[in-house]
Amino acid sequence: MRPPFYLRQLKRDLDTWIAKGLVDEDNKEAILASVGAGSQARTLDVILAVFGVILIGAGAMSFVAANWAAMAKLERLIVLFGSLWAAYGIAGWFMANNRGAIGQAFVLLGVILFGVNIHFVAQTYNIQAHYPDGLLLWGVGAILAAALVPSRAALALALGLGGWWTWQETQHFGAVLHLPFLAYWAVCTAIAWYMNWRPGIHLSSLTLLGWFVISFEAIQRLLGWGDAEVLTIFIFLPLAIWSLMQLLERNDANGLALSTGHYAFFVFLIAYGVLQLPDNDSQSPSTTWLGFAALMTVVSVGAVTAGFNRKTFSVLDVFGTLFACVTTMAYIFLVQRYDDVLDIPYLIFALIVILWSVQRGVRLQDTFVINWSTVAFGLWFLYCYFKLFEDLALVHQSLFFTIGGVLLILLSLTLEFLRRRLIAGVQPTAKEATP
Amino acid sequence: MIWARILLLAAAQTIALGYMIVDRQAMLNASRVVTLKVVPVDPMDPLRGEFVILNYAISRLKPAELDGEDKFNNADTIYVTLQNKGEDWAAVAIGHRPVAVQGGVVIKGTVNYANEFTVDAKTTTELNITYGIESFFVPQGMGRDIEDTRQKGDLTADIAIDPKGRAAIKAMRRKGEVFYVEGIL
Repeated sequence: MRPPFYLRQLKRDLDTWIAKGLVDEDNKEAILASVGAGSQARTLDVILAVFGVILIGAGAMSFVAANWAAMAKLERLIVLFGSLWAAYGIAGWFMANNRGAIGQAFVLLGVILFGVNIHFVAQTYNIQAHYPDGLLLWGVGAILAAALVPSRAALALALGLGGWWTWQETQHFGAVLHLPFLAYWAVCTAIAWYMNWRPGIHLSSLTLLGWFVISFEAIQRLLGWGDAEVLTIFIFLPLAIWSLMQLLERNDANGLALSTGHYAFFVFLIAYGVLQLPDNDSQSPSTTWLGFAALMTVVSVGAVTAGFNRKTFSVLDVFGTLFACVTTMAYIFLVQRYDDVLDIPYLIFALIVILWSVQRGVRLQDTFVINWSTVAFGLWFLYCYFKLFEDLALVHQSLFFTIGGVLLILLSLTLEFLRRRLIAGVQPTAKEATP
Repeated sequence: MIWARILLLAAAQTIALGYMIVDRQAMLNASRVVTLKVVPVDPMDPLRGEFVILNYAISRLKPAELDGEDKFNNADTIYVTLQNKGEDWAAVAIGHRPVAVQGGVVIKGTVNYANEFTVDAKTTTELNITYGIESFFVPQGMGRDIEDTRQKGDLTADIAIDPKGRAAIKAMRRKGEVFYVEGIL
């Protein structure tokens, strides 16, 4: 499961080495295969086949839906079970005849039909149980397909269904912290890991992130914290994960630590930027929050300091991490008393963190960090502009929009110029990784 | 090898679907049956494509008028004890656990929301409850007829309730006459 940027670089290097006579051309495919680089044509095969079965599935479902009411129950069951077995039968035939890509597409069709069948069986027999259970059952069926065949497409579908399931449980049923999702997610992630499938790991990371976001209210209820306090979880926790991942990255051959670190830093940057947006609660910070914040600060600063000793982090990283932790804690303590005067200092704090992020991206030659830091700066600038005009309520609307439009155009040109300059400076060995 | 895996997958998913059907049939066959009056929907809910909305007298309950517990939150599981009151059944007790009443049958539901309102300085709580029997998939050509019957107040439903309190629509009646019976085929 090598990162894509590594595979691209290796292909370029192999061509150079072959030209120089360092590597035998006959060994090129074997070398690429050994690090999991497949051919482009094969990927296209799979994509086309998947599109094909989705169209077939849509056509079959439309036909069934159009004639559903006229069918007797027995006819319905024959159609439902027959289509499921037909899809898997065709999948098995293609796979047994070395047409794995098309076989995979029919496995996906089988999993989609399984979900459709759950719906139609429930409809036929007037089953209206706790409806997210239907999604869970579908998701488990997809996991089974992912593990047994094995099927990457089924795993991707399983992760999507898992996200939908936990969203329904959380949003429709009393905003409870939906812990069973974590078990479901862990199984999916373990399969992605076992398959050595990098996009699957990304997808599972995004799904987990989504779970944290939709669990915001539930976490708040569980901990009894205010909005801003809960939001600091999305600052402290990712910062701790990022700093720990940077320590691991040195020994990480497959880029997992790099990707996890990227995700964590991205979440930290967003959460730090929006900390001043939620309504501020009148209560004082709770003791549990204080304990959490202190613990996370110790972990983050400790990891960064250890990394500094091992030359993984610079002195600016140590100060940047400490600055982010201390200003977050200070904001929570001060916001109840000095809400009105904290806006400007906090905007300056956010700018400092963004600049630290840009500096880190440039120093590490990491285009992902540079790109997202540039976006963060743009958003920060626009927020400042809106904030300014919110305070100057007398300024005419037409002036607001005119100046806003001009600034937006100038900002986009400036940021793109800045981004290209920064990336141009690091291009020769840039980490082109996306998280 | 791949055939064995595919067969296992198809069989497992077929068993899961089959279980849904068998479990529902087991409920319908082995459970106690109560007849509930379907009340008109206000405002009238038009036929939603393939199913009609069914509201029951036990869909809205006031804890103050019943035995058992008074305090419920949104999304709470609720057990409603029903007793035969002549032609149909009515709620007599509620609780977070089944409340035993002589000759009673307990149905399990979920509190959608607890609505508090004040009339003449007296605060009353009304619970909106669902039991999983609130929509009925319409046999072909019967939708409009069922809608009209429901709005006139002539519709009743025979509800099968298993020992755990789970409910399923076993039959539909118009003015007491059965016009639809749920079956496996």
